[in-house]
Amino acid sequence: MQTKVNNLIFTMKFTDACIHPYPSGDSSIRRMALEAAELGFDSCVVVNDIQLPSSDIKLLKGSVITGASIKNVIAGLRKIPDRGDLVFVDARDSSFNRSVLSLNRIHVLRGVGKDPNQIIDHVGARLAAKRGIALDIDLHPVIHSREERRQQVLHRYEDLIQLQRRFHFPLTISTNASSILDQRSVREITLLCSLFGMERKEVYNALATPESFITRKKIVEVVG
Amino acid sequence: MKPRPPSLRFKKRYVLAVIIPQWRTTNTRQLQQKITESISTLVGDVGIAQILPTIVFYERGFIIVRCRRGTERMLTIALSTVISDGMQRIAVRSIATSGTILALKRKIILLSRDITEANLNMNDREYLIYKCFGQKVDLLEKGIKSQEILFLTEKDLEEM
Repeated sequence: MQTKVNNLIFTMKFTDACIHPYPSGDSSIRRMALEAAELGFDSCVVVNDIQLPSSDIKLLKGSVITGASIKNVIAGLRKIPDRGDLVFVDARDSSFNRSVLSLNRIHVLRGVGKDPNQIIDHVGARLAAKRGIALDIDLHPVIHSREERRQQVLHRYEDLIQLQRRFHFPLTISTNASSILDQRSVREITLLCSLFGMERKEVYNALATPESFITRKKIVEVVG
Repeated sequence: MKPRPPSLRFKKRYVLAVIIPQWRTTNTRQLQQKITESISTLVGDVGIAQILPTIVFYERGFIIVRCRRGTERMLTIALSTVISDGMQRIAVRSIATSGTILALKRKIILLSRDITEANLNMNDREYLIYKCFGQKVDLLEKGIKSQEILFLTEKDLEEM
């Protein structure tokens, strides 16, 4: 079993699903890429609107849509050029999340479980599995928050993992790092995820999800 | 008090970690407090009593933390949640675990790199440049309050 898990490391490509380099943070994109390579990542998703330089690892472009209503999300989707970016939508209440999960061109629903009102129910989980849309696990609150807030986040992530084991929707893991000081290694991420019951194999699968979105065969897309 | 024979003592493990940024001098007492605090918030007082974390060595940005055998995993998790040393923002990245301090000190010799310091004037601001291993360049604004810090590469610095 141990050997099988170890073999996974060599075949999978690990991706940090969200980083915010300079000017959002204090570290340049090249430096964050350099650090990510040292920390065991093969690629990173950059959500800033900046030019991606060549680097040691593969840099993927991500676009985040934050909308108060589903209309805003559709309008945001139209603005994103069709150049193969990963599209993230910030989660809200469960009915909003369900509507988002039924849209095309969306890859990841982020922020699920960060706040009490940003939740996903079993219907949403089933829909995410059916549509192949990933739910993001943001490690920033696990690392940076303390006491009650962290307790709630850990509880919600545990709940999310339970739903994932039942419905098998894809997961992504992001550090949401805006500095090299926020970046964590694959080993540290595996250990942090074990706090809410994720096993090593599940973590590796989640880290490999963004790469699978890129390599996935393109289908005919209809917006709206 | 007569010391216990080795067979009756608690078995220990040592975790080697690096403090980022490596050029910053850290107060080990404050860092010890922060490590204890982060373990406390994760596993409580019982956890601290089981882990018994102590910084036994600090040099050139590397620390060796002692813990009881079997608790290294929890200590490593706790180290990854340390975000400041009480004064400044830092990151503590665990590198290796061993049963002896000597083995980890050998590892430090292999991993430690020289950091060169220089001055830079940019946009009417004075910076201290720390050139780390490889392409890494850290910029620290000179001043007393709210010093800006930038983590760049040599290529970024050339383009600025």
